[in-house]
Amino acid sequence: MYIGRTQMLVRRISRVILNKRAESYVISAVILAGVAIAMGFAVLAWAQSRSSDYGSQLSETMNAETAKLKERLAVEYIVYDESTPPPKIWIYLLNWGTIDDVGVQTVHIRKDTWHLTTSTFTLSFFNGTLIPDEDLDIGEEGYILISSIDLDDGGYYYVRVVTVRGAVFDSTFVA
Amino acid sequence: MTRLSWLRRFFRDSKGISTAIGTVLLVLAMFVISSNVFLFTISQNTLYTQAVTESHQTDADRFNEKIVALNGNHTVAGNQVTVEADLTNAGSVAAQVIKLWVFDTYPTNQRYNYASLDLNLNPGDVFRNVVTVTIPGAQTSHSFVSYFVTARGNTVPVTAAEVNGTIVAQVALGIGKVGMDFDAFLYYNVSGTWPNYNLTVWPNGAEGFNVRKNRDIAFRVTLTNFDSNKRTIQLNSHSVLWMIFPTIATQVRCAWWYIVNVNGSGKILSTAKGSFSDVSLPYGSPAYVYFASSEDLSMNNFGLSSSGYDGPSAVNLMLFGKIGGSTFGQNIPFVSVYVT
Repeated sequence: MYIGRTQMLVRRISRVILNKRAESYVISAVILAGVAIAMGFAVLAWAQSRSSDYGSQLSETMNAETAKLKERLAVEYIVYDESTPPPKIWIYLLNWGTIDDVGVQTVHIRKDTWHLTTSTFTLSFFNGTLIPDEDLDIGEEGYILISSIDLDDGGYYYVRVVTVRGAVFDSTFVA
Repeated sequence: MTRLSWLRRFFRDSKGISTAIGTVLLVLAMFVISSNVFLFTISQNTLYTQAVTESHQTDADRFNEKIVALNGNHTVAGNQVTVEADLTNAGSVAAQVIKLWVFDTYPTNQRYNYASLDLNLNPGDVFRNVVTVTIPGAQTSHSFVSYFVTARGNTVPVTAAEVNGTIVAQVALGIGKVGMDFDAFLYYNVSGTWPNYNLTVWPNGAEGFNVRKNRDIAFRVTLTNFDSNKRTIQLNSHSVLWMIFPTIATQVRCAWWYIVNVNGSGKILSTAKGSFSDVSLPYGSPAYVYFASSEDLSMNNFGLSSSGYDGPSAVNLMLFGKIGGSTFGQNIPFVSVYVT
């Protein structure tokens, strides 16, 4: 009984090994499966890479927007002085937001159709010393000094302070 | 039996397996990736929403912050401008006052300065704030504007003490700095001998609008300092109550009573030359001022004084002294006294 079963098994294995008719089908199936799997992994890697890029871009954008949202600058006072040449503008600022390192990128000054945009200014503490890191931390106060700017005496001017993160703060003054 | 044959057929026939595997992997990959992206986007959106909420809260706190600065006053001594104001937190959030800006509005001295502060006010807190800043060229005659800045960037203008209609009437249509209470104009008889003199009947005296001729008398007037800058006025010994009689058209007849110091029991304290102490009139507080001497006590000893004339007389109250650090002089001409 047992001898009969063993003989049948040996016969089957021998048939599989010695039978060459199905070999090409198996190989082609394996190759096709391999290609499909490889393609699948390639697509997976590519998609993963794309999604990772998207994720990092989104994260970066969100962080920047969140940081911008936390920025608050208050203009305490703006004074235009032409008594001693060259004429200057002092813009006294207070960082009352909830984020440090608020740097000022540009200052826009506008009256009617006249418009001036400048990034040439200094940022100092109220005591006159330059702020080393050129930004305002939470609760810090400082002034922007714009030199050599000629305004109409008694004119009503709009001032827009744009921060490095892109937040915008507006104020007005009379020259 | 059918199921068995389907499975057998599936395993025997390998055609389509690669397609199935590929599809499954692709679907799985897309599912995993899209899930990741979706969850990440959701988490980022949550963070952003939280930041927006915090930002709105920050703005809401700023809008709810309400500090008022009332009873403001500016006084000048040299280049030092002292700003007084009652700071009240009338809002619903605690506030911190960090800066005071002061501006000299005088046309030829439009300068400014600031002082750093650290005042913390809970809702309902009231704080009398006195801050001095230096403004070169500041003068008492100049006008000043000032405002506080809070840590949330709000500005709080200092509002000057209001001068209401009653006060204006009391200071002769707004001219001058001292008002007189017409209802409390009294006179006393002066009794005693050098150097002890007393006012009788103390303390009520009698109404000052009708007095007796040739009687040694003293007057009591009630004065209130209404200086808009709230400075204290010091009256010196030259202050005098001067009575003018239209007795002769070509020549004025007069009587006068110089200012004296009187204690709480009606005794005249300043009888000797140089013994008079300046009478202080703090802002807003009515004060009794007594006039009894025929002599200016910085020049002579006390002398009894009476009117040698009768009939109607115009009374001028001539006040001299100092206000803040400056000299002061004012004439109050609105009392009439009939002498019999």
